[in-house]
Amino acid sequence: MGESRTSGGGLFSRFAEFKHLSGNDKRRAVSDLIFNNAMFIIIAIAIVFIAIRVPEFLSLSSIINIVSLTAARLPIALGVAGAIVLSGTDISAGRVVGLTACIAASLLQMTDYPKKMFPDLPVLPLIVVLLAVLAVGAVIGLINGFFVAKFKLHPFIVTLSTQLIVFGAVLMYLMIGNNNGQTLSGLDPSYTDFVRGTLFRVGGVAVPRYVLYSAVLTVIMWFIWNKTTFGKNMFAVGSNEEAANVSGVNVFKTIVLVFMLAGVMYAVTGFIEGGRIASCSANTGLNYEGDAIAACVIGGVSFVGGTGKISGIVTGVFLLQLIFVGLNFLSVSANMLYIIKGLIILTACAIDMRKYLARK
Amino acid sequence: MKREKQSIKNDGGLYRGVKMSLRTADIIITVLVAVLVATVLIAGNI
Repeated sequence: MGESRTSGGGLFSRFAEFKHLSGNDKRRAVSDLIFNNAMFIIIAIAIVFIAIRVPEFLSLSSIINIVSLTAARLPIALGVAGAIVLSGTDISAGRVVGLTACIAASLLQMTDYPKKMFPDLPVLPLIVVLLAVLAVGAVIGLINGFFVAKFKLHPFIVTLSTQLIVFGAVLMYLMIGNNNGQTLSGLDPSYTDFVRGTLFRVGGVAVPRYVLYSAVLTVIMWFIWNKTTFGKNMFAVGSNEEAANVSGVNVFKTIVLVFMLAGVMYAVTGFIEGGRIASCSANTGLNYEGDAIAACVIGGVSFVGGTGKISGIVTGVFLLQLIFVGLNFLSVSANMLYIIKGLIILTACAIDMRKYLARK
Repeated sequence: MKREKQSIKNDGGLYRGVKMSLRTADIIITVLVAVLVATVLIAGNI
């Protein structure tokens, strides 16, 4: 139980311990270090290689673009991480993002837009729409958490089901009113400015506002994970559900709340994506959960359960976006990108499993 | 009456029941990394 299972002791003490090991143990320690950090090593080499080949990769505008993309994808990763800490997963995340993005966009279209979904609806206050999508996300999270906690169904099966249900809901929602299944666009400037208006400029390059919102959410999640009873209960249930139950933790309530919190984070992501992309369709949010899960595993949130750090998640999301932008600079086709993403997830999970084997 | 000892050992989450030596895991990871690197090199026309 706890925030992380990495062993204590500073760098110097660990180096001093290493010096006193026998030859075989030293080789084992070095191979453990290499294999356990293989992902970071590969990414570091890739970044250096790409930066040499395409110097613009590390330009100011490119770095700010990467930071912005990280900020856009961070809330969904923070949500999925909770499910992974419970030694589960949540593959409905991307579709929930899509549904909430579409709902937000449909309620915040310009009044004079010819293809407005609800022609008689004025532009609603942003806070009303935000609360509405948060409620939608929380309800979906509640459904996920209930079936996982009450029926003891594996989160993969439950979230696979809700993923399909939510996708159907998105398709049906887009047929409502004047829209007839079309892409939602023509968003009101109050919405798009709120999300992607300039927060400040660095060397003439604008940093969008949603970077700030993401930073605030990260701090809130850090507080929830580390400074609340709920957070500690989450790690306890993820480590050992039986032991947590015996210790007096309400396992049912904890699991439900973790999934509800995840749903809320997906809804925030959807709200931000709606304003950021300014064009929402049934494909919005497609496969977002894959990137989020990969980022979490790279960042040290283990599928063993009960392990994870907010800083690790931030690092994982950043490194993943760094790699994807780098691959774009290398003109890697979108088709190959899917293969590479899949291999990254597989490799990250294999390394995670190796760490578990080494501890066992 | 003998009291039954309750077993509450962590079962390893999603890796429950994984039976593999560390060496085998290292070989698998090495292969995966090689495939990943090769894919990136081919995709980037390097």
